[in-house]
Amino acid sequence: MADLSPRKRTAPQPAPEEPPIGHVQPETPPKTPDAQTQTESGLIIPQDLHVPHGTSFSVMKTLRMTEEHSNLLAELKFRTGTRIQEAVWYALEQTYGKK
Amino acid sequence: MTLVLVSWNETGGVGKTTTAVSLAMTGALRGLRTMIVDLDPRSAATKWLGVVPEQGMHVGAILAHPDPTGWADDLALPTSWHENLFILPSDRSVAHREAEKPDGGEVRLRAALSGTTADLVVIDAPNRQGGLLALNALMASDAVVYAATATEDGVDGIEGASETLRAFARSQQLRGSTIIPRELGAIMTAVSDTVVPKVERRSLDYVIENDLALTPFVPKREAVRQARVRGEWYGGAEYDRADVVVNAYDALLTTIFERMTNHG
Repeated sequence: MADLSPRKRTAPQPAPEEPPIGHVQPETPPKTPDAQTQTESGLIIPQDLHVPHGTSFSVMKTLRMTEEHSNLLAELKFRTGTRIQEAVWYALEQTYGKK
Repeated sequence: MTLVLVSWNETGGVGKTTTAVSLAMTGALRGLRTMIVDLDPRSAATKWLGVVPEQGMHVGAILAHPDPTGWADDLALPTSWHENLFILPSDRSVAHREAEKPDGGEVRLRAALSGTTADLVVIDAPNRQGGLLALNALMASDAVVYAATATEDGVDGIEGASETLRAFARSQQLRGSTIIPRELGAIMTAVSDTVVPKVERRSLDYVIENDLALTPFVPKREAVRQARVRGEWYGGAEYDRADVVVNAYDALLTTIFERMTNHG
């Protein structure tokens, strides 16, 4: 059997360039159903948050959120800080908590 | 033959970097060609040694490439501290490499260290409960040394890291692999050597009772923190109050070598 040529070691290549840690990539807006509206900044606000009758929103909010709501709030938090997230929660609470 | 150690704790800020750098510098002072591998995206060891890698030429390059065999020696940079001391630096962008993928990424550091000319390699591992960076450290190491302050957080981190190591060992055994680092024990850092507070005593008693204590304990000296701020080795002439810390790590390195030699 012929001898194998010596394994050649590759020279190091630099790590790939990537966005800075914490950077939020702008998402491609999904195909929006009629029930969704769009803000001036391009964020899609889902309108289909379902609140079961009699449930406490503040306790069950995480479980009832759709993925779109989660993504929206995550993006708001990164872009504008926790205060906006708290404001959104308050608005949702006031809106759906009354029903 | 190269000895690869990892300084680890699942809690942050408990002396991992101080221990990794101290053991490495001690090795360099003994005449060993020594490499620190900074595996933490916080890059604390890299910053302490005042090393700035070229763009992308840090440990992240190893973790990003499918075949980084032998890259460690090429990427390691000399330090101003000692001619025997080198560092494979880290960078904040290494955090991008933490996502696990089914691509064999956990063995890349081990591959990079293959054929290294270093006599001693000390990995400064990030404080993680498992994950790809911790896996790379465990796959590359001959032995694990926990570094901890004598606090609840420090000891909690030892317990967590030990549990992770046991889970790693089980998974390696299931795979039929013998790559399982030895759990050497815990280096207790910044220990009060005058009046020992009750919390410290409790933490020290825990590691002693569980046969984890590596001795001597490292005494607390403000000079070590000052040296870190200045990016200097605390064993220099202007830090004479830190002599006891230098001596402690020297004795600890002797203990580590003895235990590894006896283990075979």
